[in-house]
Amino acid sequence: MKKFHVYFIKQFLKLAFFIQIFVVILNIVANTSMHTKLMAKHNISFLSLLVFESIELPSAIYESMPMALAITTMVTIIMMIRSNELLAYVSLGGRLRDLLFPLLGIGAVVFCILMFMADRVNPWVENARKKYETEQFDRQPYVTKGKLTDVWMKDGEEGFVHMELVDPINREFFDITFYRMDDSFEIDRVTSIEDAKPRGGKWELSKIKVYDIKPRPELILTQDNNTVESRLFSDLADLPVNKPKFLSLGELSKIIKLLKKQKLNAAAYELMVFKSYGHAISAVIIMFLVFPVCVNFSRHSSYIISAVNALALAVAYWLSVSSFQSLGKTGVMSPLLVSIIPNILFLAVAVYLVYRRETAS
Amino acid sequence: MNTLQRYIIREIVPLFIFGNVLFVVFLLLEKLINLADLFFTKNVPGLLIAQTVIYYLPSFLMITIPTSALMASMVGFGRMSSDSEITVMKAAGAGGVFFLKPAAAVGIGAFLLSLVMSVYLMPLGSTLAINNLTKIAKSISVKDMKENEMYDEIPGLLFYADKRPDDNEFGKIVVIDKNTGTIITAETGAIVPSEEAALVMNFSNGRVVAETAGDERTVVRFGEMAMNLPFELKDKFSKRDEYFMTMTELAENFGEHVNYRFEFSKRLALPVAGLLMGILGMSLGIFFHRSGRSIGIPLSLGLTLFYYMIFFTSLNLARAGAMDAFFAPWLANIFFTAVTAVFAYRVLK
Amino acid sequence: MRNMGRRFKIILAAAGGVVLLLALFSCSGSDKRVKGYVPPSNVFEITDFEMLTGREGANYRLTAVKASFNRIENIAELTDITVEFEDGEEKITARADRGYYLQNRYLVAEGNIRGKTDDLSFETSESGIMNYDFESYTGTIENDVVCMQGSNTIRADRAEMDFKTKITEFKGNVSISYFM
Repeated sequence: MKKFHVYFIKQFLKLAFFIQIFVVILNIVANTSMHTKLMAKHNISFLSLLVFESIELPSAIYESMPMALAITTMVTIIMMIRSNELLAYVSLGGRLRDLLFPLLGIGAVVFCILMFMADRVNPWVENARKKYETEQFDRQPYVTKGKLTDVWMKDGEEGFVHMELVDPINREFFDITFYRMDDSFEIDRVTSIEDAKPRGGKWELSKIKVYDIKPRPELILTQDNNTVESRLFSDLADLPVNKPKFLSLGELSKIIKLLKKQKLNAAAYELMVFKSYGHAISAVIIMFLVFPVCVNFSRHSSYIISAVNALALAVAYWLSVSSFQSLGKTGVMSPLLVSIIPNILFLAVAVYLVYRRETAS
Repeated sequence: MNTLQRYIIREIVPLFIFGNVLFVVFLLLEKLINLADLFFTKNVPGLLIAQTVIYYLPSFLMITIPTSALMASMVGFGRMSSDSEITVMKAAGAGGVFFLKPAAAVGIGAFLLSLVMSVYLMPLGSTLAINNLTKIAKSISVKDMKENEMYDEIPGLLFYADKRPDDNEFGKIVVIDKNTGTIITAETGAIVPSEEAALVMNFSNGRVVAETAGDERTVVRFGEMAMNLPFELKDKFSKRDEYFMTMTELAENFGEHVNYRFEFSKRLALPVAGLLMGILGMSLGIFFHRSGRSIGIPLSLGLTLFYYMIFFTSLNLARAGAMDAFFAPWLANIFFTAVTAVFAYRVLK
Repeated sequence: MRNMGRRFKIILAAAGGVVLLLALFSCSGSDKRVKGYVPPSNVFEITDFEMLTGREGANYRLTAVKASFNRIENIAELTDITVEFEDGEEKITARADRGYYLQNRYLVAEGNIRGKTDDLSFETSESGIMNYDFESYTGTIENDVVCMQGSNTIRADRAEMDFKTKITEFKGNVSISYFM
């Protein structure tokens, strides 16, 4: 690690800290000024609103960190060029591409931070915010592991199942209806069960009614209770019961596994997992992109032009990442591809720009 | 305004513009992904989205103009200080007023721009944006539904299809009405959005299984079934909000609620902040040039934060009735006028 | 600065082009807006309509060539109707030109009512009306009702049937022609 690299990192981190703070302040001010309506609607004080907006700080940092690092790279390089430190470095034989290594080091650390935030911090923020909103604004008790109501699932090849209420804490299901489908894709049997409770490895069902639907709808069997083995109930019982944004990456993977077992399309959840990786990698790529654009040794260069070029390239990268994400949602491309392509594309642009910059200077 | 002063202004104005663009980009950052979603998955025309973003710009600019004015004049004057250009100008006889003029010119420019935003463009933009959002909310579509997926983006309905040969064609499709538990299965189906927030569906060779009274089941078989299901969208964009009201409308409602008086006065107070920040930035830029630029940035962060803290506190006091609603927005400006005067005096004497 | 600017604009244009390309690429198969006939809101237009339902041991089958079901008012307008009632003891079928099925319970049929059970048949004139309540198993037929069993015939203005008690009451200008 050359001395210059250490100096470069120190300058970079000092600026990164202030720019990130500035982005956070801007975020809080903007959100608070747009949400003052909440104060009237829920009759709360400004302080509660400020606390509510501040809870979202970690997520605001998570979302804006790549762009903040891009701006930091820009400001660091421009300041070094203005103070001729970079010129001295290049004159003493230092190569521009060697400066990519400190950026890569910082990028790696940021990658781990962003991955940790995606896995632990963001779900915690969403939960804390929902809890605060429920307790302070709506003045209702907040149950973290809530119940799940009106759940529709596909039961592998069998058909569909509806559960009015899933209580994951006691692992119980209420008001369950199985719609069995025959080979001609028509419902031929409907089984309704009042509730299902775990008994050892099995499930005790009560008040069972079975209807044949084909050739005509007819009640064919009623039972008070029955104990059966059910893979579906066992799988569903330990399914995380919250909305995706409340779930860690581990829980998301669990849902993906279950959906695949049910032969259901899990692209939406896979997209969320790959998006976290894509977002974490984007910090490295956006820094690599902005770095060569800001390096300019000619006498009549204006740092404003470099800044505008850097910002334009960063926004173009951000826009294409967002566009690819949406493409992944429409199913035109697989979730893995949409997370990789924009990053590879702009990494190639960055490498090309560094090469051009080095040969030009 | 002599040549040197025009040179100073030419140094600061690009920074002011760049500052505004940068801050708006940051504020738009998070929304960019939702906007891309609207375009790709909800099939909302790109023009409508771009238009909505432009309509929302005035309300973003109301926040970014004062901050950009502060940053631009501080970085501009700071850069000239560190390159000793200020020292040269002073040596050539430039007094305090010499530097005050360009800084005030930029400040007045920011003031006028901000005034136009807050008095005219912001209410107009917000109203037009809400109309667009209502139109966007109407564009219901199942374009992002995939094969073998329990698709529940449409309120009240759940879709599932084994095959999807084309954007609007489905093979072996199931539609579940979650409210009544009715299930429609069909050999083939076509779903096309209509203009009025509705889905027009055509199914063939299918059956409807529904639960009737007394736990009985009813089955309807059909050769062809066409339906037009509208979705009532709760009008969550209420227009009565004070953000959407023009100055005259606010004036008419003074008696009704403290919010209207505060909003009216705020739309005149915030632009003044742009002027104050322009001059304050100059003082900070020149004052801190000896210890390099790095002190200036955190100080401007603190001042921006401090300004908005006072502003929101005065909003809170006005709502609680502890302060007159007309005076409250000006509290922050009064405090900042004092700070600007002190700094300007120390730098320019 | 000059030559770098030009080259950089090319790169920026390329990046912008990529995003634009994606936008056009993805919405090339964009949603086709509705063409051709669009049914009124909340109305299900059904062809080859067949409904099977049961009530405590009694099964019904209602068919129509065309049905237009309004899900808000829960009324289905039917064309060319046949209705079957079957409770394990007896099977009754009837047909009519058109009619309505209301609130999942009442059938109102009009025009050329024709029907038969195991051993008798009935019919009305072109302006015949039949009302039937699926829940109470009772119904009425009006306007020149003619009921035939073998060579015996009953004519009346109105016939009231109860499928549970199997009793049919004839009212208004009742005339019977009965051969031993």
